[in-house]
Amino acid sequence: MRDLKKALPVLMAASVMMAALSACGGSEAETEAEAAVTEAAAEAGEAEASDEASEKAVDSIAILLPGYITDQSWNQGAYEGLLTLEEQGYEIAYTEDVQSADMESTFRTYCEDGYDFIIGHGVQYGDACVRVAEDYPDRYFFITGNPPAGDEELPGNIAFYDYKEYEGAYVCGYLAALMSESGVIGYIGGGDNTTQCSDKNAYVEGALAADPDIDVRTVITGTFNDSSIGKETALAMIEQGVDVILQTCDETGLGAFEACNEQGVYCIGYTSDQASFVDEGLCLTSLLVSVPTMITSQIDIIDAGEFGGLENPGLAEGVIGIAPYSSAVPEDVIEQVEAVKQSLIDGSLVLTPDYTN
Amino acid sequence: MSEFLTAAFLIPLFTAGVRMSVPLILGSVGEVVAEKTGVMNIGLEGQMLIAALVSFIGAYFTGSLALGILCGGLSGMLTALISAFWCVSRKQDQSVVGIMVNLFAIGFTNFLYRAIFGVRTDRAKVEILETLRIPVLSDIPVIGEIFFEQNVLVYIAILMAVFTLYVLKRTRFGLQIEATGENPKAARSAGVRVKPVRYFGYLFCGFMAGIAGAFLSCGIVGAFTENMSAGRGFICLAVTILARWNPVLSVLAALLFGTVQALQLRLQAMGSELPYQFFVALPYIVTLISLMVFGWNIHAPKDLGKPYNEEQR
Amino acid sequence: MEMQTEERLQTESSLAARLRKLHEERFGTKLIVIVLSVLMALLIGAIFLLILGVDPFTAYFYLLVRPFRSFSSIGELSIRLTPILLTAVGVSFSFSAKLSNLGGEGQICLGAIGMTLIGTSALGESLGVLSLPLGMVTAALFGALWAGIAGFVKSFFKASEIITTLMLNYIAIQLMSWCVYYPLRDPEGNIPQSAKIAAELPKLFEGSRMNLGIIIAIAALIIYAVVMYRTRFGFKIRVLGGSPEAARYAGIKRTKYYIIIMCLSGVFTGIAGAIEVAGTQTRLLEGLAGSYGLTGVVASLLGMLHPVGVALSSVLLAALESGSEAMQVKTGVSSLFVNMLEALIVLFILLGMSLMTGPGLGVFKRKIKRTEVKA
Repeated sequence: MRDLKKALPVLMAASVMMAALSACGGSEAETEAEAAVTEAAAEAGEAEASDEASEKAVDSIAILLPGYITDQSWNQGAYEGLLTLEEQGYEIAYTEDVQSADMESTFRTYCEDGYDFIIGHGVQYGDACVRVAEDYPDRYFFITGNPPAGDEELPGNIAFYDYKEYEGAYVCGYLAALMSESGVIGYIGGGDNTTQCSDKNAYVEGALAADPDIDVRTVITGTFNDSSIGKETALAMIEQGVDVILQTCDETGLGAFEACNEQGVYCIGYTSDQASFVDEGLCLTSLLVSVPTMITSQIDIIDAGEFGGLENPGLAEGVIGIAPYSSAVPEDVIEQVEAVKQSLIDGSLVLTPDYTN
Repeated sequence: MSEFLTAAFLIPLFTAGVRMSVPLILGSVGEVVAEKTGVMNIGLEGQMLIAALVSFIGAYFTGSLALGILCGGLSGMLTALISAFWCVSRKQDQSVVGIMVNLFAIGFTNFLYRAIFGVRTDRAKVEILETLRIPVLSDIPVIGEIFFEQNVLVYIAILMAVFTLYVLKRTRFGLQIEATGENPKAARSAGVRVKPVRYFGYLFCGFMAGIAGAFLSCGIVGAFTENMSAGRGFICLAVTILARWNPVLSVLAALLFGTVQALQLRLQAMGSELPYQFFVALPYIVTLISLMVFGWNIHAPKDLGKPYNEEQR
Repeated sequence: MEMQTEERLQTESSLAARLRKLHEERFGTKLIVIVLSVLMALLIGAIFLLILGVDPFTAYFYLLVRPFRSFSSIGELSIRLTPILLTAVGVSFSFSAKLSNLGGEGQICLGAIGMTLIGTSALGESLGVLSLPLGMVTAALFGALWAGIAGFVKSFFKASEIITTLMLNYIAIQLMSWCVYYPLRDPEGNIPQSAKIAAELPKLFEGSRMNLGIIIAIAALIIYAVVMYRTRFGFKIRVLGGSPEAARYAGIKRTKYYIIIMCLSGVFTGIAGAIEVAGTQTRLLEGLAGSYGLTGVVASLLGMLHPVGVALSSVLLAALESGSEAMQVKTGVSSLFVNMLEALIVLFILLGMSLMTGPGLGVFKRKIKRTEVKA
């Protein structure tokens, strides 16, 4: 036991921490120098970009994504929007699969890196964004969802975009009910959040408006990234007689599409026109969310100096849309659905979003 | 309640249950053999994930599902070779190596998929395995529909379980496997070459995990999505314990978990308020209880998880 | 079978001497192995990067150097370092006794639940800042109980703690998810997360997110060093880790110690969860444990269970994870790339160590007695 005394006293541990800390401090100068060299190349490119966009308030844009840019849906839509902006001369960056543990630090990394306009792609990023925005008043932040609950004062440099996706879901529900032969339709959602829940409830509402006897089966799978769960959920619904399914759950939804394709059941896509993922005609339409427009329109707003606050665009503003109908949808159904859509656009029909699960 | 007890509800439920249990059956049969030789293949999840991607790549570029599935099996085996070398030849901690294999697989599949397919708007897809009706047997009422109108991997999984049980219980090789896991020193003095047997354990398990991964990408979804094994490899570890290291019982345990999962999706569609979290955690809770209440670990191979030192006789 | 005290002391001191000798003997070689392993992993990573068409030097610059660039980025680093270091300390206790505690993630979840229970309750509300220590204690207790289950099953049912801790992770993740969906859900909020807790851990400096948590983590590391090398209890842990037979000979009751060590391990990981809630997120939400549980295990192994090593490897891993974001931003390489690097580093270290001890494959071959202290 005595022998151990010499071994490794507490001091050692403390000194390492000191060393580590001082290393951090010491390396700063070096790092700066290195940074200058390594970033020189990168900045050459940046400089060009900033020359072009120098009059604008924003020349670099970053986005935090909840999933992967290959999901053919919510995340890929945002990625494509970003690419359009890149073509217009903006510098872009993105981070995939940002989960709660990393949200705030990712926002801060972008701020540190000098990005002017930082987007949290999903309602779940609101909280972290508010905390960061207070510390960086000269940057612009944008959340593609509604503000976090509570009566706290929100910083002026965040814009929230509570787009009325549920309006589209309502139209889809209306269409689904008209197209259903069995009288049972389904909805598959990814997560329990405001966007998804209001979609679900509006879909049910729309379906009931078209056919008061319709039976709507809804499932929130709890995941946006598990396609085999999506497929099994859709198969389970189809067994229960469901013959039209709307999915709003990215990769999980792709699994649901696979099931519909296999069973020859109608489906409705999400975010982009997903008709090509299934056999001809099966995908009745898609609930379009114009993610690129969301982002690009904000930039015009910043340039006009009117940034901030909450916006509620929907079908009328073209942020939400309905993709071209498939050949399976008869003319008279199209007419009815278009009429509903029109009444939402001109405001003769107003929906109250229902966020309850 | 009555709506649950109809054939229209139960038959599709069990059919889906069988389908969802296939990766669990394949993985746990492999794990049973590995553990019987005395090695714990924690890297099963990683092998499954890598194989899901490699089999998809194989099927995508050759246009043949069979070749794709074979690629999947072989890639699982190759991944298991890492564990085998580190744990059997270099006698490293099996749990640590396994965890590292899983960690590696997540990064590696992400890299490989992007390197090959990039980010594209048209989704890379393959046709999935077709349903293969077994003549005569599929005409049996109820059972026929549940078990004999599935894709070919379902039959392979069940046949492999039976075959493995036969090999373990009735053949010389099976005895050698058992001896290696129970008491390697005694096995060695009886002339069994311990290290090759343990290598076999890893490689066989890797191959089976690979087929399980191939089932996910080529058998169900027809595409690869990030982290698509989604913890199924760990459920296989639980199934192995619950099945008391018996390959045929592992079919039953896997069927139980698969059916529970299928039931959960149906209950939710019917408007049940039961939290889905409970169902996801259920396999692990059941297995823990089997360990704590029934003490099922007495069925575990005695030398499980311990590195074998030849010179330490 | 109580031994004579004197005889036992003698056994202990001779064991101690041998343990220490082993430690010192290979320190230099170990260091070389670690450095080589890191370089090898970086080299393989560089090949992957080249395949993706990314300049490895640029990528590694963002990964390894960038996190130390500024005062606030060091603050960001500390936010990641805190849970990694605490988890590493926790699992190091168990790994020192040859108990593979892979349940860091689950114990973090339980700790986070414990903290939130106190922080969102009426009691926590009335206590204000004092709810923090109370929450920490609750979190430590929750973490200890959760890890203790694995120790209990190990001791009384001989079930491998590897499997049980892994399974407990999954159960804990679902338990936490259930908590934020149902009982602890913020009644006013519209996404599944708890209400804000009553008090937050104070920030240490203006202009940085570094908070009191890092001090707690460093204190935990010091406690680890003291306990392991200065107390009889730590000595027993190391004897248990050296050889169960020697432990039996020294009169150490394994069943009891397995449970105690697992609980101790859970105390630290539980606190890591509490700090995630009280220092970083201010509320309970899904995915809060991130990958800290696993990273903690990697840090502990990478640091060879030595306090200094654990500290250094935790800093390295925190930098990697924090740098991976910048790398993705600047080069488009997914942050998952870091997982691959971490796994390769540990695998190479294991390989190097195995070549160093025992019968090696070539140049490292040395005729040393077995590492384990055989009775």
